[in-house]
Amino acid sequence: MSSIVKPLPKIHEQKLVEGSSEVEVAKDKGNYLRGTIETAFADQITASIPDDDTYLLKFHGTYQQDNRDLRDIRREKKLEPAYSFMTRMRVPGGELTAKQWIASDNIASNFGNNTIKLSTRQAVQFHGFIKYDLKKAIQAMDAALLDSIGGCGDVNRNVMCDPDPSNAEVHAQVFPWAKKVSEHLLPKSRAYHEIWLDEGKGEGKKRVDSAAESETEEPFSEPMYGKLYLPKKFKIGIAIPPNNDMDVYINDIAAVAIIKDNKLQGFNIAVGGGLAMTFGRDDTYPRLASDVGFVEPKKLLEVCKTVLEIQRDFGDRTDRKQGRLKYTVDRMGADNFKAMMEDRLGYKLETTKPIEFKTSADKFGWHQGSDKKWHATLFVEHGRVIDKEGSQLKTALREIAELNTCNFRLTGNQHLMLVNITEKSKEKINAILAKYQLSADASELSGMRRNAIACVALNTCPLAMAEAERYMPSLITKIDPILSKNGLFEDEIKIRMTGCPNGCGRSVMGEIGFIGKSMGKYNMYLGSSHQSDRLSKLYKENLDEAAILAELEVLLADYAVNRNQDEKFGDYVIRAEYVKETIIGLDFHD
Amino acid sequence: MTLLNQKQIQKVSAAVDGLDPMQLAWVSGYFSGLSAQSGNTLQGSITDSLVHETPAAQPSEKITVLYGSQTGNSKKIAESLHTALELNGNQAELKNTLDYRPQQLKKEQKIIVVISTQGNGEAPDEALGFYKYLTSDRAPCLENLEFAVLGLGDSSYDDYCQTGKDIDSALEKLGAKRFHDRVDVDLDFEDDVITWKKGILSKTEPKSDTVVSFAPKFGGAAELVPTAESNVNNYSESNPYQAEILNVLDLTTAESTQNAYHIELAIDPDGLSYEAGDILAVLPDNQDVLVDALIRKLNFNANETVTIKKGQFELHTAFKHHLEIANLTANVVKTYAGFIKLESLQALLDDKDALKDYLNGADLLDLITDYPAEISTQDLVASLRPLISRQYSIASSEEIHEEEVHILIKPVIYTKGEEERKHLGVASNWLKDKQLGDTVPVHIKANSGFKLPEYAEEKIIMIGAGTGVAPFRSFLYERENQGAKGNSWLFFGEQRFRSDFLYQTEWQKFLKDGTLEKMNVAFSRDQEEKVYIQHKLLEEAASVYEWIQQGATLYICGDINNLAKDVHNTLVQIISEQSGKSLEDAETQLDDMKISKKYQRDVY
Ligand code: SRM
Ligand SMILES: Cc1cc2nc3c(=O)[nH]c(=O)nc-3n(C[C@H](O)[C@H](O)[C@H](O)COP(=O)(O)OP(=O)(O)OC[C@H]3O[C@@H](n4cnc5c(N)ncnc54)[C@H](O)[C@@H]3O)c2cc1C
Ligand SMILES: Cc1cc2nc3c(=O)[nH]c(=O)nc-3n(C[C@H](O)[C@H](O)[C@H](O)COP(=O)(O)O)c2cc1C
Ligand code: SF4
Repeated sequence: MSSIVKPLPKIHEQKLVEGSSEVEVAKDKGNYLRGTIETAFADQITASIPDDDTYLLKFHGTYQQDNRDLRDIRREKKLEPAYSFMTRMRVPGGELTAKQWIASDNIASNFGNNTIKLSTRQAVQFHGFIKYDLKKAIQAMDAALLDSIGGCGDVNRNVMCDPDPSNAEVHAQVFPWAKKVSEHLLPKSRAYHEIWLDEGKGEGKKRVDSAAESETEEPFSEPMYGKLYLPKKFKIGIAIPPNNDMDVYINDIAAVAIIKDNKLQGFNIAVGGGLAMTFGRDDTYPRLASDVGFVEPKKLLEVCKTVLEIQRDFGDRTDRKQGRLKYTVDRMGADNFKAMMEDRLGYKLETTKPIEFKTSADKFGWHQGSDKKWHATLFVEHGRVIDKEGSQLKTALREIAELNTCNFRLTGNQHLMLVNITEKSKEKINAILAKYQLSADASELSGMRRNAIACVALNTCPLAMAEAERYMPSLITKIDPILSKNGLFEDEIKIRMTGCPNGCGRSVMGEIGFIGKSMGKYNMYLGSSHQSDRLSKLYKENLDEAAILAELEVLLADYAVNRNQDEKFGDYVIRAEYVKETIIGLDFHD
Repeated sequence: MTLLNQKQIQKVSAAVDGLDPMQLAWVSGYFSGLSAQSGNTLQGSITDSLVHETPAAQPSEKITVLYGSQTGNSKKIAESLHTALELNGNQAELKNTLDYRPQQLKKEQKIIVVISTQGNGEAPDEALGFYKYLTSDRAPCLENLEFAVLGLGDSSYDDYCQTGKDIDSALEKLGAKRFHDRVDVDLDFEDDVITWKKGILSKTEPKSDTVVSFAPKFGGAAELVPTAESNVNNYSESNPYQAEILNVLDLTTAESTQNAYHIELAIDPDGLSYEAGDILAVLPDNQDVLVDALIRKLNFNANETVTIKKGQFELHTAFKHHLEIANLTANVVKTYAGFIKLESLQALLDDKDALKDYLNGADLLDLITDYPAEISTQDLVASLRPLISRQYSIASSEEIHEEEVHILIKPVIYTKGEEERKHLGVASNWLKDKQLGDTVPVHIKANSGFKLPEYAEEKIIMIGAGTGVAPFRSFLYERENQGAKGNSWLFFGEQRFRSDFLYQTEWQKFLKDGTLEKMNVAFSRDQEEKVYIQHKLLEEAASVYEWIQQGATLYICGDINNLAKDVHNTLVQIISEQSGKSLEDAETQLDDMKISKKYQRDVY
């Protein structure tokens, strides 16, 4: 089993190693994320840019994509693919002011495809920027004090944190850490500011937060990351028990807040989470982070930095599919990893504190916080804020933002919270929701739909093998009758779908999970826990819709009849031996 | 029809290529000898003919046939006249006005000018120098010169055969004597040209009779001596080739506000052959909707037989295949008016501007609706022009796209004034609706005024918007075939990058493999303010001028009224700004470039 674990590479000196992947080469040539991006964007003959620049552009938060629905017809017409760019903003903890929401709304309609995508990591994505609009879009973000630095790329990604401020006192102590960690781990290169904000060309207003602290930084150095940055992406999440709404253990660093008498004591730190796998490669597997210990708040930043640096030095740079921290941890062994951390930190980590997670679900509707402020969690199907036949969600949210009486907060389940609302504003907001016939609590939906996640997949995701966001809603519509029939309509059963095994919709953290294999065909996974501290396991392969519904008929009926008191679906399928339990990751494929 | 197949004709023409007039005459004698006698007496007949020819060696006077042509019609006519003159025993010389020093005129005895009109009443580019000289005050007195002029034109233009008229009157002013009245021929010139040629030949009978006796002998041989152009294509307007449709592909996407069809046709290389820059002439049918609407409106009998130039046909057939009913000309309206005697129509004819305005876009259905009157079927068809081929720039390369010819068309669709009836351009709409496997009547028109430079190393700047980019696709495939690298620059304009970037992936390929060195694009509707091709030229003013200085040839193709004018003015501006010349001098430089073929235009 552990034979699939490669030996640990020797320490990396930020020089290209034998057999480095092409992305490593591009970073090496890239002169701290500059490459030939500027000239590539000046090229008027194609709406695309060279491969090397696409790798670097990700560090700027932007991906090159093309409308996959149109590929064939355009090829026939002697036209290149309908290239466009997707930009992912950095939104630590998913926090946006009302003004920033309006700015995002404008950006989406002026330059994008007129939708705002709320991601599974509490970030905002814009799809469909045309080449010559990207710069304008990024400048519009900047004007609203927003940026997309490290939205993607081999750096620390958007830092997640439980967005729910109901326990005001506690939340106020924990939430700010998302932003602090995010800024502490930002790349320092000025490439983003030079290319998009014309810094150094006189015009650049360096509003982006990183600027303040980077002012003094050498534009051509990365003190922490180094010239080659990390071997792959790096993710950090902060959870506040009993909520595990962002599946905290799937992060490279999982920080779990430890609270005593409403005071933040510190964080349990776990390392080496990650969900992606590649079909046909058993040496790739999802893994949940392993506990390494407890740290006080003031040590959080240096601890995160240390973990990141160990990954920088020992991560695999020859095979990107083996590049994540989770593999580094398994190669070292969690204990040795912890030892190296302590060695580099110069002090021992305290032992992990006991914690209990109860749920990973969002609580929809209005809740009053301990400070009497109101908060509403709104259902946004798969995070797509859009105006469409029968639902003017985008317009409604814009009107709410224009009231300028609340903040907007994205959840890790692709939904949206409106927070810190007074009694009076609550009425105004309700009025707007009513005007657009939007329900505040989504109570009319099945518990399964309220607990569903689907990744973007087609038509923008280049890696998608099957539909997800565009298909999941109709699938659930077909599952709902089965639920009703078995009296499970209200049950909160976590269902997830992704168009490929990368797991953007955290499919293997679903009590029921689907991973696309090819158009219309999905592998079905069962057995993750409702509170997201256990991975699922493969149940059946290559199911089409009919087969999926047939399987669920059986499983759900059985569950309805034979479950114990309060037994969750994910636990039942293991007890009933539909699947074996997955312990941490190396055993995922067993 | 000729007696030989294409291959044989090519052989023959190769054999006689480069022979001087007398040698040609001798060869034709030799040929007819061959056809007449058997081997052993052959020798005799040759020497015999040689003996006879000697007196013809110094005929009394020399006739110079001058032509100025854009799309080759004038050239063809001049060539066949020249051959006929020689076979008549005249000492005749054939010259392209481009290669002719006008100062020569003083030494000439008899000239015959065959010249077309281009632009809006302008001389063909290659005749520009000749035209300017004759109409300038530098022109000498030409009392001793006799002349005749044939003007080619299109009566749908205001300045019908203007260049022919100008040359004719200029020569008269300079004191030259008209030995045959000027003749203006319309697009359907074939019959009129035959009559004109007869007239010319009768007025140029050589003195020495010995030669005349040869004439009948050579009658048949005349067709046997093909000219440079006609050996490529013996197909013509009256004898088109039936080309099979291989592909009809709209290059624009659903988001686009227009359509642009890339059409591929199969051709038999023995039958049709072309060079980059040449033109495909397509003879369309009229739209059934229009034909039927006409017959209904007139309530004529569709099967009634009518007589037209081409012969006798049922009315429906005549309307659909043989008569121009979608476009009117002043002549058509005049003739029609002549038959119906209608006040209001007479008034229109008397008001030049109103008439011009009316002619722009009105079709026969408009005419009989706006000016209804009793008219006999025969009188009506007699008022009409024959339906003639439309021209399309060839977008393919014979070398690369073997046995195929490609064109790019945008359907012409418009409404006239308030009426909401859609007017459909005849050929463009007919072509776009063709199915794979259908055949369409075509012939090739050599386009000597739009050719790649002799050497692949010479720089070229290609400027084209919309369908104007078609010949440049042909150019680049041609250069790719020659293994040419770089020295090529394309300026392309369309509406939107996403939906209208015609042939985008092919340009990208040419840029990648170096066949195309630079490309600039202008997409007018991708931003608030309209951006056109000439703005892109201005942005590149310095390099454009540098390329011109390095001897680059400029090519402009596309819309005559907008693109051509604006680009031309921009070029004048660039040259003047970059060189410090006055605008006038910049103009002159461009005119000189036209004459030296460094500035070639294919605008419509
Ligand atoms: C938008 C989002 C899904 C969503 O519907 O919300 C998303 C969308 C994409 N992910 Fe993801 N990922 C998203 C969360 C995730 C998660 C879940 C999480 O982090 O909580 C995972 C699994 C956890 C993990 O990282 O292991 C995830 C694992 C991946 C991977 C596999 C990484 C790996 O370890 O190999 C890829 C492919 C890659 O990076 O090579 C990927 C790549 C992509 C790309 C950018 C495809 C690409 O590389 O070109 C997708 C863009 C699709 C599109 O058109 O928008 N995405 N991606 C999520 C944005 C998160 C954010 O705001 O940063
Ligand atoms: C040398 C040369 C090369 C050419 N190359 C190409 C080419 O590559 N691709 C291409 O598409 N075309 C090309 N053309 C134009 C082409 O020959 C035809 O003129 C065009 O396709 C229209 O022909 P049609 O029979 O469809 O329209 P027609 O039935 O001939 O109608 C055209 C006439 O309609 C009238 N008309 C058009 N629009 C309007 C309007 N908006 N309002 C009022 N009246 C209007 C005008 O009088 C115009 O002459 C070229 C022309 C020339 C001379
Ligand atoms: C772009 C263009 C402009 C023309 N302008 C005129 C004109 O103004 N007056 C006219 O009588 N004929 C005009 N014609 C018709 C041509 O003179 C006619 O087609 C002639 O047969 C061309 O002969 P060529 O091939 O020798 O140039 C024009 C033709 C074209 C293609
Ligand atoms: S899971 Fe796969 S298909 Fe879905 S968004 Fe991520 S990469 Fe694309």
